[in-house]
Amino acid sequence: MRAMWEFFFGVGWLATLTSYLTITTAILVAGSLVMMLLTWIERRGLGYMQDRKGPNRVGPFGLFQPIAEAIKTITKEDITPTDADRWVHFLAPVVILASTVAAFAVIPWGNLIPVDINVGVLYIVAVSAVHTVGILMAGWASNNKFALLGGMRGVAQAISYEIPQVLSLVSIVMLVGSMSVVDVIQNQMDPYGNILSWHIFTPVGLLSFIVFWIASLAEGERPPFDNPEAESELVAGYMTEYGGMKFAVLFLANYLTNFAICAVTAGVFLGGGNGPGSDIPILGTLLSVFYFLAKSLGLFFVMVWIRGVVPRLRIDELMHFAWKFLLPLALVNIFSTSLWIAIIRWGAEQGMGIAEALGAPGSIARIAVAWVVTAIINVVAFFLVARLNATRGVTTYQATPTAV
Amino acid sequence: MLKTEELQINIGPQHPSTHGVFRLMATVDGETVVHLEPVFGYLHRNHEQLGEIWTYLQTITITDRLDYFNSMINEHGYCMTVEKLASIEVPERAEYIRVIMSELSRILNHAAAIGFWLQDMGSWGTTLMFGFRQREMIMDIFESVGGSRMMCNYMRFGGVARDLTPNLVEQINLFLEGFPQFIDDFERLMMENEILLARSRNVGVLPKELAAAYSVTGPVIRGSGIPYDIRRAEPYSIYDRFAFDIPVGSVGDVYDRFLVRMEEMRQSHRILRQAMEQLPQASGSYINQAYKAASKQQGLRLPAGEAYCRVESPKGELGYYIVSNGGNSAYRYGIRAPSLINLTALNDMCRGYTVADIVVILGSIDIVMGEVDR
Amino acid sequence: MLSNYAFIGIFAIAAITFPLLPLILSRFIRPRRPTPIKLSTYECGLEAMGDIWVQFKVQYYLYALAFVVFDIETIYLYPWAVAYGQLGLFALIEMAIFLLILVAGLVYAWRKGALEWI
Repeated sequence: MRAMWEFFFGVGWLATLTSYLTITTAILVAGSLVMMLLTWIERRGLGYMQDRKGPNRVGPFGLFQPIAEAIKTITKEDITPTDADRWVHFLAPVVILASTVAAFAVIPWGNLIPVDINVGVLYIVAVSAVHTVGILMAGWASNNKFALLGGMRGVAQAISYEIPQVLSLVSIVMLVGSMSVVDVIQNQMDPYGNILSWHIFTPVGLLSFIVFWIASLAEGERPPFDNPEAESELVAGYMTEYGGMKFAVLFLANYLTNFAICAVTAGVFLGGGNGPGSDIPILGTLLSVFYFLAKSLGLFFVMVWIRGVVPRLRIDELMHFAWKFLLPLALVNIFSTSLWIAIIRWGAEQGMGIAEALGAPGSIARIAVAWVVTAIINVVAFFLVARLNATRGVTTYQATPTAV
Repeated sequence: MLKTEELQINIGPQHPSTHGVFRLMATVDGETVVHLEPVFGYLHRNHEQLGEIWTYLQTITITDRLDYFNSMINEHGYCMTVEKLASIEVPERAEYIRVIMSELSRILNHAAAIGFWLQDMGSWGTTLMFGFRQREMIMDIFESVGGSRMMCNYMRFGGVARDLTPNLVEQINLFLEGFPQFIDDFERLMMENEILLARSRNVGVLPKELAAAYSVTGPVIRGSGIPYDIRRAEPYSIYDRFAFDIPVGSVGDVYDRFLVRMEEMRQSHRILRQAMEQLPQASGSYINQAYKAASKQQGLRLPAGEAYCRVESPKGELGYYIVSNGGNSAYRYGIRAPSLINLTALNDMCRGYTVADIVVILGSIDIVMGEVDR
Repeated sequence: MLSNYAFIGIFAIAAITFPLLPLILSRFIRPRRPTPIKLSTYECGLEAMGDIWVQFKVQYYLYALAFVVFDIETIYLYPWAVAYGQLGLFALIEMAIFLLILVAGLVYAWRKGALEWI
């Protein structure tokens, strides 16, 4: 009570408010700039993969292309179809972008931490799940058949992939013992700058990474999971009836989601801003921001790469993949993570007296045993689930030339 | 079971993946297609009527606009029909040049068709660009011989408009040398792709009997397992001189059509190799000299009568029917367009599959609206 | 801790303002020349046929039901996951049983065909 009193009526509240607003503005501006960079990377990257140049006229290397587009969309006529539900149609982009942006409140940019709340991981997942509502609003309110189908697909896909995504994070939360994003990154910090301390370099972390990354691609509607906006089938899916600035807002939300996915993946699995020299007082902060951006943009390039090479999945295959492949793997991974922790960290008082024979908690022998056990479980589970999903009765194909 | 209502969707005429202005009236239950009705005619340009008004020579230029991906083969078929009616001899070298151009056209068409097909599947243009790169090289050759990249207007009655220069022969040989590398890369890019297999295997199956009943032709019928190819069934021009195989699928689904197209490109390459080797050296014999003058002026009058000729276009059997009453333009002129006939089987191929499959199946038929609507 | 959530609150307000700002700003810049055709629903250049807000296919909702089950289970897993490092073998066995029940549920849904796309 006293703290609350001091907070609201003490001398420092104006200063606190000002600093909060400054941080908020900085994050929004930085996010927008990164989003512009992402659209540029995507187009140039795809361009080079496809043997063409991509945008290269506006500014150096076409870097100002997104700015030109921002000007274009903001001066473009806005159209709300007569049959559409006006308010829902207007609010859908707001809901989608707001939910995406809200996740950035707890994502650390290297050593620059906006805020450290003790349920950070859950907060990111929860807030970004709200955009499902926005997709349904957009698809339904447009009063357009393509939008309706796209919206339905979007919701079915988003809720299906949310489960493996959230379950794969359970493993990481177990490893860290905290839901704070900062703790998750700290846990991967190694005093020697050793990258092997990243979560991705453990068997459980690797499987968790695979499940999380694939599920996130689906959450962010990236190819090959871009069914809600499948251009060749549904024109633009739930975005069909959106033009001008509303479309730009949806577009912005799309890329910010992608960036959030990359940032969270980099933070949770690749050590965030950790890297050689990131713990030096002032220079380290700059370095850590650099490492963080390099990792995130590298992951984004992987997204672009995937988009460049694979066709889109059909909706039924997509759903089966979430429920029959990723979900069992995520469940198995939770189990092997609990074994991992039991073998490495627990002593006699936790009922793992047997493990004492291998040495003290955290010893090399214990880690080795944990590695072998969890690796075997995960690999076997992977192939078992893959086998369960294998299509049966595949006819042999032959289009071999036959002389007639 | 809960009551669900069916939804009627217009896919097209203004849709990214209907390959032109083409409309599909689909009735869907959720994502599943219950009924599908193709509606076409948006691109009707009175082609056959024009062919009866314009002179024979002028009509060559509009045959280019039928299937604008392989204008050379369209011209080939039309010229053959007129030559048959007027009993015009074609010199040996001209025949070889025609075959070379036709087969280059086939490669061009299939490379683009597979690219577009994958684009429909959602592959975001990478394969399309790979295919288009080869297409670009072939179109450079076409531009050199015909003056235009797509609407070549190259074939004439009794031969072709211009001779192949040594430079061009060099250019074609260069293309042929690089081609196997391309097709291997192309294959490696797609063939083993898990998603492609999942999307195309057992999708849009057209059984053998049904395919024959619909009288579909080209890669569609060959994908269904019937080795029907005009180049073999009724060899025209000089196709009986070349050794080549006809690829045949076994299931009749989308994947089979894709495999057939890939293999046909290899076979076209094989024919081209042989044709380039056998190409007679006598220059100047690229056109029947007696008709060279006639082909320049508008004065070609055909004897009264009728003729039907068919060629194997990359889309299937392309037939031309001309009735002449002795004038300098056709009395009646009709075309059997393979894209149109292949399209009639669409409803049977699509029923029971999902909305996403429609575009993939449509892409696998490989239609060009210029030919369907004429 | 309280101030942390104050920041989240401020950030949430900013997040809602962020999309509204350009939307309102563009209102003063963009042209506005509506015509009935322009404002009609897009259906590939034709007039829309049939009703759009229909009784839609049930398949999408079945996944939503399965989602609710598994999502709530996930919420139960999180507190356990945070505390797991300090717990003992008992927690491991307990959770193994919990997970097995869930797997049984998944297997049941799988066998029943609830996960199949019709």
